[in-house]
Amino acid sequence: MIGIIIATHGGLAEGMIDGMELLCGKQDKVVPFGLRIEDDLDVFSEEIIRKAHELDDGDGVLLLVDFIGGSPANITGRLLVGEQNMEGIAGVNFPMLLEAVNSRDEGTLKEVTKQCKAVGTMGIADIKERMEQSMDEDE
Amino acid sequence: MAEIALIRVDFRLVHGQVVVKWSKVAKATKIIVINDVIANDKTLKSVYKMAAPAGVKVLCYSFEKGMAKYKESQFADGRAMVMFKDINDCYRAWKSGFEMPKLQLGNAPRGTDKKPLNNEVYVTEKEKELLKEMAAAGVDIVVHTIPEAACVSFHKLV
Repeated sequence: MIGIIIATHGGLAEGMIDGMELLCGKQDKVVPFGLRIEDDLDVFSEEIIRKAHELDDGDGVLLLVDFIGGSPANITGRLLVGEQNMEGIAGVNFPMLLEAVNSRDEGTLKEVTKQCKAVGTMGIADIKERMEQSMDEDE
Repeated sequence: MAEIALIRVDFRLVHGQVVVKWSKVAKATKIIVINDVIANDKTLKSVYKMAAPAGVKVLCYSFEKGMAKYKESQFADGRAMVMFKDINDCYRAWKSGFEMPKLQLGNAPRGTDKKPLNNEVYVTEKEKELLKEMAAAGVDIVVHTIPEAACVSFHKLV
């Protein structure tokens, strides 16, 4: 099973998993990492790297981080160099996480990563625009 | 005729648990919402239509129109997930000939004179009686919020 790591600033990662489990139930191999102001970056980094290798049972690991430019993304960038069995996406959002959890048994790590990026991107919508589109239908 | 893949009573109608989970479990191609208030409110209707998962159409019918569509062609084609907002509407539909081999209860909130069936489903005495009547007539009623949670038979809860 593809392992999933969510690494963010603060409690965002844990909160996303909390929300996801409301809809998807308890999940195996989904691990949050939240960087706190008092954290030692080297320790934080080592913990993520250790966990990523621990989660890899052969199917690989998908790392979802908050944004390009932040430490979680920087750490992930360094981790991913030369790793065939790990992928990373920055800009994690709720649709992306739901897709990751729901589709991780349905493809290779590369396929799931591509799908998660697409669904996460499509999940961003202007609500008024969407509602106006559906107003045109009559039933 | 559409295949009726799932019939669910859920106060929140088309929401997270339905979009992310039930519509997929049911392999629904359409979600039929039968509710007078929503069918007659353009804004509410567009809210629920917006909530449609990719590849699934949300159709909102008044009670009368929903029953007419059911009797006329059983919602045309595809696989339909049928949703009621409350037990009373669901009971009325069943009474007027909507076949329900199985009925799933999702969210029904707390309220005056309501007692819990479990953590997510609260019913009045009257609603409980309606459900009992349906169960006695052979409707397999279960309380099931998300697929990962326990699916509990109604008769075990009363």
